[in-house]
Amino acid sequence: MNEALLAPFTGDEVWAALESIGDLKAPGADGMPSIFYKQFWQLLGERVKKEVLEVLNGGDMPQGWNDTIIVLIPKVKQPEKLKDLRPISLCNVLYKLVSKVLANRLKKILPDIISPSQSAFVPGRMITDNVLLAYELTHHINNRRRGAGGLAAIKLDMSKAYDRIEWPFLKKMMQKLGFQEKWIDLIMKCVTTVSYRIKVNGEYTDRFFPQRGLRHGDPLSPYLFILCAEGLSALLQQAESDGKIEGIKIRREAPRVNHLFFADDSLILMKARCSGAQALKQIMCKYELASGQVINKDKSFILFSPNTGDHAKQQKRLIMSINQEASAERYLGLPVSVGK
Amino acid sequence: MSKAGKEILVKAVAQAIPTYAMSCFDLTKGLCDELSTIIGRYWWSQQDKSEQDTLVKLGEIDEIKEDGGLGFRDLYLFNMAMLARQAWRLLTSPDTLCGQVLKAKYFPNTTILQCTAREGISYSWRSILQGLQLLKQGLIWRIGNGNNTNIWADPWIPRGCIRKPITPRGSSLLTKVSELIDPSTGDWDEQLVTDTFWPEDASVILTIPIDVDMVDWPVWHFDPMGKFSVKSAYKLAIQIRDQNLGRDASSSTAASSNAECNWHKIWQLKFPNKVNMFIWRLAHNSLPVR
Repeated sequence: MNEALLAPFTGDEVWAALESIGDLKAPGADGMPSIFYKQFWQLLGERVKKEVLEVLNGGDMPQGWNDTIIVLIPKVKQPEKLKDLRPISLCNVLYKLVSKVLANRLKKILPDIISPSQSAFVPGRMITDNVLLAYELTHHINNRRRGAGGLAAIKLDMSKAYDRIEWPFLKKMMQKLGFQEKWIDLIMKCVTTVSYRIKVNGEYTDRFFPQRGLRHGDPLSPYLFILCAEGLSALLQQAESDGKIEGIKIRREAPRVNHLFFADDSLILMKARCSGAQALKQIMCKYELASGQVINKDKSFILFSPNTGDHAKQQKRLIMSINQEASAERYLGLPVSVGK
Repeated sequence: MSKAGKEILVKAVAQAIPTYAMSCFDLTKGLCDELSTIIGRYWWSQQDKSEQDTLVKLGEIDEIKEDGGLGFRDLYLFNMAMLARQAWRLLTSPDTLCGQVLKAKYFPNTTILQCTAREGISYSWRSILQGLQLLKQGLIWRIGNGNNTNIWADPWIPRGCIRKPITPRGSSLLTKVSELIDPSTGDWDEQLVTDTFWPEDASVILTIPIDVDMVDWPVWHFDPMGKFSVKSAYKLAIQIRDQNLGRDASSSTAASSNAECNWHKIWQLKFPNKVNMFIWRLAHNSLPVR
């Protein structure tokens, strides 16, 4: 796979990348939308290809290419605090060409390296798969009325997931997944040469250099993010095979599921035991520490099956320090339980 | 806002918002009808008047543009088409995690096609089974070795309406398509086929290509490549509805062609959309002039 990733980059890939960028997507710091390049490709084409390929084939990122403007999109009608705003990065088309070419290659190998519980951004997987699964599993939990061994589903909400990713963690993750050093350098070059300016009310702030975080708006970010999330997925799988956290099986023949991810939206499913909760807590601490992710406790919730004892519930809630227990909550924008 | 503006607003917002929920859940006929009513009321409302006569029948704006409608979707049928896609995915890519879990729970030993609703199943599964009904209407089996296809019960003869043999079974002992294939040549046993079936069936059957190295596989009949699409499933759903209502597809166009109106032409005119909309309303005799 590494060979496929590192095969010499070609001009055709650059053109394919340009074609896939929408004509009038908001331009980056240099103010040139992609339609400009498309329109004058005959004049510029050779030059653009040459420059982009030079970066891809090992050259330095030229100064100014990776200048990024952040605009703040309000999440609510009357934004008052910073957290009501969503920072979107606007990158230059030239940079986007580089990152898109990389993303197009990375995309192809994702189905082989990302665990099946992740359904975001992997070609051939669909968001609805996770919705259906989550729904089916919560249905199973809600119908567990008798017997020992309660079940629990925990939805974890990562706050500012992209912006908190630590770069060294990303690098380590890629090394662990077996990418070659040269490819990793290429990716890290794209991620770390960023400089930001923030646009507020039409004015720009001074330039500054970030130390962590992936940008919303960089074509590579989604894929890099799921590489990072793969870290948590691996930890959970290991805990499963060590018997520390027991996932849920709908039936004897069904595969055991202990987590479902859609990018940063995660749903963890397990037997409601104290030991499991402890193990989960440990894993989350480990992951938070390493990746920089933080769980937003206010937006997370736990769902217990009706046969779970009050004592077990209480304990588990304390361990995870998540208070909300809700059946009317949503996962991926759809209710997790409908019906009578 | 102009009617043309409203058209875009309805299509891009009011009819687009529910699609995500529709891809997993059956929103029920009642809710879909309610949404349609709200959309219709908005569409016909005018700023100066609160009450407005509906000058074109509500049903008609649901028609596709070529048939004299506006191409507003029938939300419920669209819902069914979206659910049919889920069923199609489960049928054709069973290896996904979701496919594995659902298979283990609801059809461990059979395929999704044999599933029927029973007590205690989840709402989303019930919804998918609804979509499955539609999917079955458009499914056809391509013949590989013929072992999995039942001659009399499965749809496998590629032609427009009925994709099962029209020949009555009678006392024929044949059950599987594989029995019609000559094992030595790997092609149809021509003698047997012509003896068993009426000529109408036999002539079509003999043109079906066989790929003996493959297992029989399902494809979508209404696409040249055999790939399912929500769009064609929606079209099929509309067709079925029209058939059930007793007006076959041609009669609704016949009614509109009485007015000697080629609807397609209106929308092809290179005018601002507003003007095209005006002509459309004129053609429907729905301009309030008095």
